[in-house]
Order: sequence, then C-alpha cells, then structure tokens
Amino acid sequence: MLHKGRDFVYIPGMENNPIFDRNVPGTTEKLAKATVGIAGCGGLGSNAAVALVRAGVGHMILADHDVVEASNLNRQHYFQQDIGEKKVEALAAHLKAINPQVKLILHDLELTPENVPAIYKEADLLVEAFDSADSKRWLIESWCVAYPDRPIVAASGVSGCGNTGAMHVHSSGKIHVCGDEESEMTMGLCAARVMMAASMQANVAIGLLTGDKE
Amino acid sequence: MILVNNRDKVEWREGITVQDVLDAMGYDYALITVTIEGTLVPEHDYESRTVPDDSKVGLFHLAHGG
Repeated sequence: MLHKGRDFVYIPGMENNPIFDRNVPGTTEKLAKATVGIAGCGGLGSNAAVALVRAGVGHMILADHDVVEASNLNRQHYFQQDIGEKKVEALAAHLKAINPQVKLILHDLELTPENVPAIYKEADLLVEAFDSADSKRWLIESWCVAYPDRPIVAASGVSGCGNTGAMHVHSSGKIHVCGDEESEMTMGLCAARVMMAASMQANVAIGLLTGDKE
Repeated sequence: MILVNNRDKVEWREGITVQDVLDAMGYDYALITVTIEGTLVPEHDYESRTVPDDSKVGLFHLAHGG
C-alpha cells in the first residue's frame, strides 16, 4: 500500500469545478460523492478510470502490482515517461492531471480473493479490469459474496480488432459484463477495442451511480 | 422451464443442478460465472445447487484479455 490517506468525505465545490460544465445535468453531484474501485490498472482499468474521472467520480481505489512496460502502450493509458514506473502511481498522476480534486487510494499489491473485500470496502461499485479469465472469475465471486448488494462491472472478450457489433453488455443481478464474451487474448489486443470495452464499463458504472440502469 | 440468458430454454426436471444446465447448454468453456435470478452461484456449488422451475439463469463466459 502506498497511501493510507483515507478521505471519503464529500468534496465541497466539486460540482462547481469548470471541468464539469458540460456534464449531463444532475450527474456531477452524484458522481462527486461516489467511490469506485478499479481492480487492475492495465488496458481496461487505466482507460475506465480516465473516463470515470473525466465524468466527475470523486473517489477511486486503484490496485495493481505491475510496472508500466513498453508493450502496454498499444492500449493502456500510459506514456513513454511512465515506462518502469508503478502503474498505480503513474495512473494516479494522470488522473490528478485531469482533476486535481479527485481523491485516490493506491494499493501497489497483488489482489487475491482474500484481500479484495478489505481493499474495496469503501467502494460503491467495482470495475473488474484483469486480463486473466481465471482472475476475472474469482474477483466476481469474491466481490459478490462479500458485497451482494453492490454492482461489479466486468469485461470479457475484448481482443482482436474490428467486430464492433459483437460488443454488448450482459447483465444479471449486480453483475454486468462488457465485451463480446468470446475473443481471446491470443488474438492480440488493440487500443480501439480494449478502450471500447473500458468505456462501456465506465458508462455502465456511471449509469448505475447516477440512478439509470446502465 | 429454465430460461438461460433471456434467450435459451432448458427443460426443467426435479433435482436439475447448475452443472446439468451447463451440460444441457453444451457449455464447455472452462471459465463461466453463473447466476440464478441474479444471484451468483459459487463455482463449488455447481454440482449441488438445484435450479428451481421457471428460473432465470445467467451464464457469463469469461475470456482472457484486458
């Protein structure tokens, strides 16, 4: 863990921040109070986090144990100067560069089924952003068992390129899965498709946090 | 009748389990998340959890990549 400065109080003035002048009316106040957990800060997590901060989410809990590598730059929200840096720290800097008021809790560690409930205890909603399907499954299970009334927005099938019409949102109860649910990482990964899935995740999350269904 | 993913139908019978529904659907994916009426069924319960008649079952296929 890098920072312990837990501060989940409402941020006065967030709704008056000019960044959000063009926001959908009525969303900024709700998102400013929300806490979103991001499980993994790679292609899905980094891009979803950027979309959520731009939308006005006020609090975020980021966790990842990797450092930025050159091969990440084809789809992840990092830059040349981030190579070798811890992902949570590099991403936090980018998010703060968008909105310095956003409150971030960073965890530079490997997530496990055992530590997920405690790390995301304060989160209203969790964004699943792993690359391994096995990890996706245990994360969904761990979250749903610990917090059955809180949503999880996952992604499955984000690989390859093109095939845009296959992307969809599949929901049941508090579980929402974005992607085509088929394509595998062995096909390779391209920014446009990974970012599309990450944006779908962010959009579903924003809908849930602001009172729409998705 | 059991409705899977709001689309496919599996005939209900007494004692039918989550694993039976997966078999009936021909799901051989290794990584699946299952819900019954929106509530997650842990993987270790697939063989033992019975599915009530007229249930809505959600099957999510989890693929690598991110």
